[in-house]
Amino acid sequence: MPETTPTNPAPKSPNEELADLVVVELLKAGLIVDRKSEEIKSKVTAGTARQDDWQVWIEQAIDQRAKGETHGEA
Amino acid sequence: MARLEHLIVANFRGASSKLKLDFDKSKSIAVIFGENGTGKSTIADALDAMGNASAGSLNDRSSVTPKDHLPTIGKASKDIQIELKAGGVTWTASIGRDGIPFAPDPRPKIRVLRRAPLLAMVNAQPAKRYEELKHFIDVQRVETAESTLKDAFTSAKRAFDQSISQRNTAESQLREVWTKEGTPAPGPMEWAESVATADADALQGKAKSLREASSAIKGAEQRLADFDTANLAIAAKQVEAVKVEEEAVQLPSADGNTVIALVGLLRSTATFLATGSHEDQCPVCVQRIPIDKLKSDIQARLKELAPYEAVREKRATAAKAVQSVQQATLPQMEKFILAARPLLSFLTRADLEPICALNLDPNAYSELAKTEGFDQDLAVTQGRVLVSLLAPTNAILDVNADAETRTAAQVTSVDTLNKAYKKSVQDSESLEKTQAALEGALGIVRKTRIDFTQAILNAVSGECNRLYSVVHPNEKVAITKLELDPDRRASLNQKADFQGHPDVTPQAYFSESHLDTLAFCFWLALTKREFPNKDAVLVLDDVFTSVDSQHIGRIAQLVVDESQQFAHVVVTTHQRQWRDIYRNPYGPGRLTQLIELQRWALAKGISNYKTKLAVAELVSSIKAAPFERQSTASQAGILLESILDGLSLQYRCRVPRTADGNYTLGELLNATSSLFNKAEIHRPSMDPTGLPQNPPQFTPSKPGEYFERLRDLAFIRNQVGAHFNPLGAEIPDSEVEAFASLTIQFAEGLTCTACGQIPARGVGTHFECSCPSVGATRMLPAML
Repeated sequence: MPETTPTNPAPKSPNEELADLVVVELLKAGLIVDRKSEEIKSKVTAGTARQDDWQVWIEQAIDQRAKGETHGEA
Repeated sequence: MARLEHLIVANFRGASSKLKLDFDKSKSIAVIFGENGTGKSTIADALDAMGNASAGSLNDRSSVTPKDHLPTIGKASKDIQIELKAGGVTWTASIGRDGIPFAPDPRPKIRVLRRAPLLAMVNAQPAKRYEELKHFIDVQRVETAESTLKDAFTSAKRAFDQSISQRNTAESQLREVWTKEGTPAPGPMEWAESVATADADALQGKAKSLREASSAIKGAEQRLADFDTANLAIAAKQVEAVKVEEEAVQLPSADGNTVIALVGLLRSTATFLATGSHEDQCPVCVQRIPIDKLKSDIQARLKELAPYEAVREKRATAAKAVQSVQQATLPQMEKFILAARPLLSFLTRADLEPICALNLDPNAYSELAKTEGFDQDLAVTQGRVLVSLLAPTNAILDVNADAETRTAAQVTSVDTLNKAYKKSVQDSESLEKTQAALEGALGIVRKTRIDFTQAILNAVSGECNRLYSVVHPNEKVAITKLELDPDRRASLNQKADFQGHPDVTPQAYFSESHLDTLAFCFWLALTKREFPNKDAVLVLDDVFTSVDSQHIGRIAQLVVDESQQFAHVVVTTHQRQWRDIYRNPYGPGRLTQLIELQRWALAKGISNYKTKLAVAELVSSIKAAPFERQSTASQAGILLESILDGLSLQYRCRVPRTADGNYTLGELLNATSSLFNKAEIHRPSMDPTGLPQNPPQFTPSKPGEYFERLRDLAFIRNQVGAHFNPLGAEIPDSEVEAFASLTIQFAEGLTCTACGQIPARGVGTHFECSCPSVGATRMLPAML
């Protein structure tokens, strides 16, 4: 049995862990855009995501999807 | 954090004098055994104060204050000294006015479990239970973000509902207009779309043109009327002049016009003489005459010719009047011509259908068309003709203009409604997407949060159950549900399976011993989760008091197994069984440091000494001089009994039933004899670096080789080690030593050289010791 244990990075807080999962799930569902992931993660972790933020994030994803569809059709 | 090296405590609770506990860094567990009142809790409290700034067990007692009662009686808080060394770092702590200051930062990671809070945790209300788990599942900030997401969704839904309402209103208004228009096919929207394509501006322009044409014709008509009125005025004045001339003819004089001229001359002379000074002579014939007489003569003459003068004045007035109206008529004519000339442009305008329909030839009005050098009278004549032809179209032009205006207004209105409808459709479609996306996001965030917290709870309850099943194998008792109360925030419900009854409240059905274990397993699962880096010191302060001897063995084994998840485990206990488990070969004594506390006294405080393992103690006894034959025989017998007792339980060997469940050495030897015909110990072979080979290879041995010889010598235990017996006195020291040495060889033949434990953990085909599986010593068979 080792005398000392390895020093791993400090474990994430539940808020951080959950925010990570939330962002992964939202990305998977195409409800947010990848380039906003870090901002969303940060604001969700801190509890500072406002109503307007969500609106903008979601609309960006809708726009991106619409553009994708348009390009796809083209 | 590394394993503990030492703890120094002075003037702190029971440590009335300086206590130094030296920990063995090579061992993951320190078992501190002491009877009640020997200072175990003082040691645990000192670790708690250092690691958690906690007053430790005093927190569970009433009417005590840390500042007053943490110092040893008769000492002050300033006298307290706590020093802990681990991994080369030395922490010191004291008791201050407002807490327990320490250095250096951060504190060592230490978690202390005591019996009182242990039971409280299981018995706690759901809210209190939540507090214990809060650290792991409190996602308040994410919940705040989720709340704003919900607001965004609610707001989007409201906007969507409004857009639907607006869409319905726009559609209804369009339908209304469409209905008024006679419901033209194919439908209101298509109709609106087609209407809206019309150019309202062009329609308005056409209406304007029609109105301008109508207005221009009316204007020309008016100018013509004005011109004609002026001409009539001239005629009237000329009639008056004729009448004056007729009056002149009626005058008595044959040559009335000459007399009228004379009257003019006289009036002029009289006027001339009336102002200024004049000589007495006629200003006309220059004859000498008094000026006053001349004036009087002229007045007399004028009086005489008064009728002629009256006619003369009327004639002058009439002529002036005729001249005046004639002068006024000229602009009227010009105005008419100017008003009539633009009408010519209407004759070829396709948008003025009523005029076009007259099919008039513009060339017929060439004089009117000229802007200079034209014959005014002819132009007036042509203008008069043109106006007379166009005037009848005025009404139609006005009607058409109104119709175009109405159509333009309708187009504008329908266009506005159509645009409003289309916009509302567009808006509602866009908002529907946004609302649906926000709703989807909200669902994902909510589900992820619930899954996340439930996964933690499941992991905790799963680990709790796993630990629990180690202590209570094959018992139909387990935590089945650990979940957040859906109706209350920060409230954690727990349910258990009890003898096939799911979802019971464990407090109601579990025995105290089971609740003890359950609470311990729950706390251990939490603490493991809290320190995934395995860098915390675990302190179990006399936690298990209601657990029977069978379960203590399993709990002790569990503590050994789980000690790998922590930097160090410190167990304090007043139960001698704990000491004996680790001291005898049925416990992993080589992984464990045994510390015993001696009886406490205020004068000497807490004192401790290291306890030897049973085998080591027996080795010392053999080597001791003088040789203590009785104690050596006794120690060997007890060691042998403890081994055989454990093996008979492990292999379910037959022993005669007794009321108290105790068995003699002879009974145990008989019971286990068949085992040693078969038993084998397989020790892992090591590679050149001293690590177990992987895949493992084993070297078998047969512990039975010592067994029969021990059976032959076992009587020594009773005759020398236990009783007054004349025969015992005849047994030489060498036989006593042989008995002890054989016992040691027997014990060592059964135990793991690494952990010191007899393999007792069943893994299906065999038993293993406490070492990690790849390097574990095995004992076969798994059953007799």
